[in-house]
Amino acid sequence: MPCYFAIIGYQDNPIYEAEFPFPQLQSFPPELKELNPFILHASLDIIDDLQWQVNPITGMSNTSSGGFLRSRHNNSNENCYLGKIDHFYGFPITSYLSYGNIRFIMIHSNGTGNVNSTQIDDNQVKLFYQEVHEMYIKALMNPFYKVNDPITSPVFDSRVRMLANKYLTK
Amino acid sequence: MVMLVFAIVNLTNFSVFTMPLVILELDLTGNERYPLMSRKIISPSTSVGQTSVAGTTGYDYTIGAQKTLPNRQQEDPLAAALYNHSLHPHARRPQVSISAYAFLFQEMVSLAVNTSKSVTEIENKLHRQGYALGPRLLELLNFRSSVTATSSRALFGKSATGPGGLGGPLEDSLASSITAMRRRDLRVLEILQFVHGPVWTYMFGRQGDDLVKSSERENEYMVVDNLPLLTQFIGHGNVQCDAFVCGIVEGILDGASFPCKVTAHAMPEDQHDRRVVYLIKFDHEVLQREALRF
Repeated sequence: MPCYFAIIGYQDNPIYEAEFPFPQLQSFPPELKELNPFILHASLDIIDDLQWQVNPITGMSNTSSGGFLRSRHNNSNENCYLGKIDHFYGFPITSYLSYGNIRFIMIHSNGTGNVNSTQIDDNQVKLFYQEVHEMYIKALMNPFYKVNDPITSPVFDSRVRMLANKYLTK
Repeated sequence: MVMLVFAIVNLTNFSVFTMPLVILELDLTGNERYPLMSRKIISPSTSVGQTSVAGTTGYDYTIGAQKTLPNRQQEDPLAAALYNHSLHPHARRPQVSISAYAFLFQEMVSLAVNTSKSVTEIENKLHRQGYALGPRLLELLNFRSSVTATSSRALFGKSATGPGGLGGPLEDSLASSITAMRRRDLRVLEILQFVHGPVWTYMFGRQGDDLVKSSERENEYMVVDNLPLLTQFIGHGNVQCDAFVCGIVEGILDGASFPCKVTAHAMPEDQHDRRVVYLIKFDHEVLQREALRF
């Protein structure tokens, strides 16, 4: 399934974007591809709300607002990985928050247009986010990089794509 | 934020279409809290029909998301060195000699002194240098504390030949061995304990001496240091060189979305004549959020 992944800074500006075309270079249909950044930014409000929830993954169960969106999840005590936060016509959107409140967001799709078959494996996605988080911290350690600027390094790009191949290919 | 726009106008050309030759934007407040992206023109999307799947050239925000394949082989080894280093605390020597650091700090202070006209300007410059470190420390120290003992053993079992050296394989990443990341700090007290504990230990090798809440004002907290490490060789003067540490603390708190102002005050006590109190003054939105959410 092709995925659209982006790192969004604290001014809602994109720091990094990528499309993972797999398997076999499958990609989003062109009309959807142009929409991806919009879909992604539409879910930022939800993240802003979840950001200050004590239990962003499990705490929503008794409140009615948006509870149906949440993927079924174990009662983990984490608040970095937010799980599935939103969906757009059957495409799930997952998110992860770094400690400096940099948002990692991804739109998953199965490329076939079949809405009901897009399933996400929370553990794999979470590991992917954690690894990208580590890569992001390494990029941040560069003294010439300013926080919230776009990350243009080809090495970073290549590493993130490798991680996507490792964790998201199914 | 005050923005001044200078336009150097080509005066020889008296036509109506007087084009500005250079437009400089100066930020008079000198406040680099939110560095804007360097302004480059973002062209309308050209992504449709683009089928470049060969090597990656890095993210370009004027183009947007690209679909390329990773190319590990063609990586520039120098550029990749940053990403090959391990983030593990024991991967590199964790300590810097205090005399070397004192020389560096002395150079930073004298640079600030030589290029400034007033005491506040000197302190602002030091503050800004520290501020850039804040968000980095916030991410790094939180990430490190997510690494548990078992996961680090797994790491060093594998890469015992060259810990932290160049060219460590990708499989050595710390993140894959982390089962649960440390929780983000949501409350004022949690983030202050983080500053007082792990941050102080990382910077000065020991915890802060005290963490006090102001009895007069709701939004003021104080971190007390009886013997500041960085400024221990600097005599008493009217310049507060601990502004550098203030900048770091403010950078950390701002990065974690706790906007505040941090100032340092020398407050000698009977036994500790170099005692410094870092006064942390949170913006009111922080308290409002706290009251609403928790």
